[in-house]
Amino acid sequence: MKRRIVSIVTLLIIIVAVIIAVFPILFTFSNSFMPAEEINSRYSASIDETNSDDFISHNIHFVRFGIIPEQPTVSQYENLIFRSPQYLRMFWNSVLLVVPVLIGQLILAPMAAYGIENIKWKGKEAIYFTYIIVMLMPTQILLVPNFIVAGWLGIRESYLAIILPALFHPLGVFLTRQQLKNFPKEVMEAAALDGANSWTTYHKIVRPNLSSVVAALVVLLFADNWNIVDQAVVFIKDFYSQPLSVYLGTAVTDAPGMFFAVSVFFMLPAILVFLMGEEHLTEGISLSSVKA
Amino acid sequence: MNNKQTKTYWLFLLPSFVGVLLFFVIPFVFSLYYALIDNMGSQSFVGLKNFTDTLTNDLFQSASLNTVIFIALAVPIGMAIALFLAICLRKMKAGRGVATLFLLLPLVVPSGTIVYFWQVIFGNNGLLTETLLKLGFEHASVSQNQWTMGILVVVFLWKNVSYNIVLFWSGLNWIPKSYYENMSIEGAGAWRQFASVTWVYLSPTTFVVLLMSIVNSFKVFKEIYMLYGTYPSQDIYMLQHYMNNQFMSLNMQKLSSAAYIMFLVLAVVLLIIFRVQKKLTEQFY
Repeated sequence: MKRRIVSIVTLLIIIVAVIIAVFPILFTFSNSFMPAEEINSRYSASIDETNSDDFISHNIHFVRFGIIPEQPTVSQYENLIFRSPQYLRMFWNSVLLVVPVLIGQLILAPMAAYGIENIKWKGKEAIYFTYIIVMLMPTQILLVPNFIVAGWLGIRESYLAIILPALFHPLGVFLTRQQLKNFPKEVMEAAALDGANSWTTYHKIVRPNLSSVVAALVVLLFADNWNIVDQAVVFIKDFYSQPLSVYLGTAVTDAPGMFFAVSVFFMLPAILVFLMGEEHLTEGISLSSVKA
Repeated sequence: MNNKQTKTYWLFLLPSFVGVLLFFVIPFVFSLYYALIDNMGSQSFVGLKNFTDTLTNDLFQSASLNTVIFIALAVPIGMAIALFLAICLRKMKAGRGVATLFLLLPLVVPSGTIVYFWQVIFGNNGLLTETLLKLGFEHASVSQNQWTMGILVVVFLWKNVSYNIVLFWSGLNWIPKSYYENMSIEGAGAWRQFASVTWVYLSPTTFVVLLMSIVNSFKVFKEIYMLYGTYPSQDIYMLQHYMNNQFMSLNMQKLSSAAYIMFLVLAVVLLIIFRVQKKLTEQFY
């Protein structure tokens, strides 16, 4: 009996948590089918003839919260696709910032993790410690060295100033090495005894077995770099060169009538990547062997 | 394994290590030089002047205070919620896959896409203010800025709790089921099971989650930028904003000294956490 109560309470807690997690996304999605006039009438602070029946206090119109559009339409999407090329351009900017980072990390991180795990030199943990320290530094500190290097290389105004440091951010190496620690050493040694060199061992045996952590990395790196704001604000001066992740903050006041459609359009790739990699997210990350 | 093979392992590491050195370590060490000179023109040494200037700067002080307040709220609350939900998920018998999928969704949703929703809830003409007014609160008392920090914590946690759920989940899965079964046979209740199995064996994970939560808490800049733009109110003016102002004015002296101060404080905090973790591990095993 007690057990049943516990499992019902657990279920209720999870249901409430799921609703909290999903509701803002659902709201954004359903509001993307409202015409611009309805959005204005519902959420604008100013009072006009369309919303004077709503709650008004101190001369402010309060929001008329809504999930279901009164007149469902795809006009926001039409505006986005046919009449607002700047959004498509900024979406493309986001793509240009994410794809090189993903490709680079997926090549570099597993290789580095494999290398450091097998190097016999005692001092290698000091090298690894550098990785950990860099990993634990917030973006705002790391931006200072990134900014200096970008100056040295003369790429301060270019996407490379963001992409190059992101390629080497140590989180990928850390997560891959954690996973590699669970990998049986004997298998690698047996391959070496059979005459396989370290490249063959890596490509034929190690890399294929890292697929779950690689999938987890794809999800995490995509989510992080698709949502890039801090670095872009510092490095990208030209307004139309900003990724869409930055512009959304302006769009919410500049173009509320199509903000929801833009948002759905922008979150879609991230959600697709997530759906493809989600099952690996939990199995690809192992922290159990972390020691101080 | 032969010597040649050991050498090739270095080749695997090299590209990544060169990148870490070039883009993070070397320029960071170099920025210490910038922190010790007066300006980029004459480049004469001024000792610790930039550091004392930064530390006595009013904006830097209030930014530090706000950042500490935010971290002190967001990190423990975020960890507690995530651990609680991860344990609940583990206890679920059916529908766990779907529930996990939905709970992790905010992790990938870009901060900016949800900003309209938050404005509809927390904005000046939002649902929260409306509800409070209808309940009979004075307008002046509900529209003040004192709530901004609280709102920020909620908005930040909505997006970032899922990352901690992933980490805790992977840690929980490592605890063998048999440990719990033994405890149940001995008649231990849920609380004792948590205290003597989950908490003990989860402590390495908890330690990582704590470290990651501290780093990730600085990501709140995204949420502030989306909700309040480049110049937010004083109550949520964070170190990130202070740094951004220095980036805008290209003041390398202020930037470098502030970065070093943040680095040193963070290093001390990390060192303490590492030490405590080590003590705890020795105690348990």
